[in-house]
Amino acid sequence: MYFEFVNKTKVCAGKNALTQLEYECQQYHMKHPLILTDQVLYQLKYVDILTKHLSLEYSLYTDIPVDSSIHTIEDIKDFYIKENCDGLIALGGGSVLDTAKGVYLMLSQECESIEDILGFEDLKLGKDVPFFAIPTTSGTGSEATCVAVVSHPEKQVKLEIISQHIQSHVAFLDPVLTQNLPLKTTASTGIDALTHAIEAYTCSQKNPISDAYAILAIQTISQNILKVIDNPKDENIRLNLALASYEAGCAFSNSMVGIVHAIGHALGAVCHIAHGDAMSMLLIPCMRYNLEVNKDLYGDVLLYLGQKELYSQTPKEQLGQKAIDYIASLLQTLHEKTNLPVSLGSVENLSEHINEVAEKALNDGALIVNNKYANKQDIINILEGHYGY
Amino acid sequence: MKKLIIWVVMQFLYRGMKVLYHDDPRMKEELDGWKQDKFLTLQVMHGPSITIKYTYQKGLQKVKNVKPDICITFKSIQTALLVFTGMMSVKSAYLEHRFSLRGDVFESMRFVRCVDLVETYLFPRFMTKRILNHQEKKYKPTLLIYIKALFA
Ligand SMILES: [Zn+2]
Repeated sequence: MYFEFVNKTKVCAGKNALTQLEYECQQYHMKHPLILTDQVLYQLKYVDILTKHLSLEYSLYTDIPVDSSIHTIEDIKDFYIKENCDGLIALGGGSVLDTAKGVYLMLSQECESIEDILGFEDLKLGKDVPFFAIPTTSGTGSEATCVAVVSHPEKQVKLEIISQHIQSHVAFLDPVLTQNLPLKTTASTGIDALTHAIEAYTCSQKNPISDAYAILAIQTISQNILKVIDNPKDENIRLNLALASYEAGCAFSNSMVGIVHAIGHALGAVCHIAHGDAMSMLLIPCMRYNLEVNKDLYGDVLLYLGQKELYSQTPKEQLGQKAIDYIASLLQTLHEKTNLPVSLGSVENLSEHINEVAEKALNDGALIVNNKYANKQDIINILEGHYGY
Repeated sequence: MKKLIIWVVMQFLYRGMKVLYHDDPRMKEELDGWKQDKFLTLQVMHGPSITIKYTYQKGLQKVKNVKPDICITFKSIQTALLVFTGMMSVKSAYLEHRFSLRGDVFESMRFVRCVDLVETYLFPRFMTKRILNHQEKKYKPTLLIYIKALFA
């Protein structure tokens, strides 16, 4: 066996984590940071939650769109230089954090176009630019991952950069930032994190350290995801979900994901399905597709889901199937309580775009690491409901 | 010696791909999927390299001194040798972080599948059984592709 594992981010996690912000800025010689966020969070005054703890002068960029592009990144880079900033603080969900990673890389690699730095594991250590990540959802785990995905609107493609030099220096996980998340978003981002953990634990790039993070994430999510629906303001539950999202991010950043993400990315690109929703619709059909090769690993997952009794009562060869059944019922409960879409049948016009989605999924790097080989027809079968809707 | 073996296999794989572009519709479909010309470099750190030009709907040719769209670099001669002698699959090399890639990751997936396909023809079955997690159908006899790759 040979594997690599990288995680260099310092984590400030828990109640009042943001009160440490000024200190960390000082640690990284940040005197005039650029704060990045989106319009929604800005309108909801999330920036104030953050700046309350900053006495430094700062610049603010609040126009990061939901589907951020290379143009946004290049725009922000110019703004950073114009404003004489000396560090980045990204506050937001996956799109904001991925955009920030793109800006960070452009600044540290001193490149003119983001297209010059695409690829994986190709970049060398660049110029030091302090970079803090503050997630406001508990799902993408982007604060922990070595990957940034941005869209190229003219070419209508997603571009990917994977590098050990992309991680933020400090991540702040403060429950105050996720307490007001709508329940449906909470459920859908939570299932995204669960999918990261399950795919990380069952894909062919898994390794002992990524396993440890994945197991922890599966345990934490299963213990908290239903609780949070009934107690959305509970700080401990919110913190646990933020931690689980971070842990799942650490796991899949070092082991990759699998077919759920390969098809999910394609479904997002072609049919504009929100990422977490796509995960919620695809997780069960894809686990059923993978079952024959992942039986034992899925069996382990049942235990990590906290189902000790069920595990001990189930014959070994049925453990994997039981794990799938358990997750299916969890999704159904979330659907009933939050309206989380859990059926591929709810994707409008899917049948018209099935070929395009399958074609795109086939070119997704996540498919290489899926334990079971999948060709275009296999993907079409999943989308057509051969493994359940 | 290691460098020489790698260089020879690189040439052989290139010729195999060039032949299959005309003899196996899947190779043509994969490469034409780019819908435009592409320059590809395959290299080994401190070792040999090859740069191939793909011309849309025409095929492949070797070129020199161009900036490639996709550049795959093996991080060591030892692991490159394992891959080029069929002891390690491209997939395993990827899983073990044995190479880096500059360029569009999604677009490069086509190239990975092409290498798998050419290996199906050019490497003996006992090897491809080990390194490929599925067996592709062969449209033409291996011997014919071999002869064309060597002498065409
Ligand atoms: Zn995800």
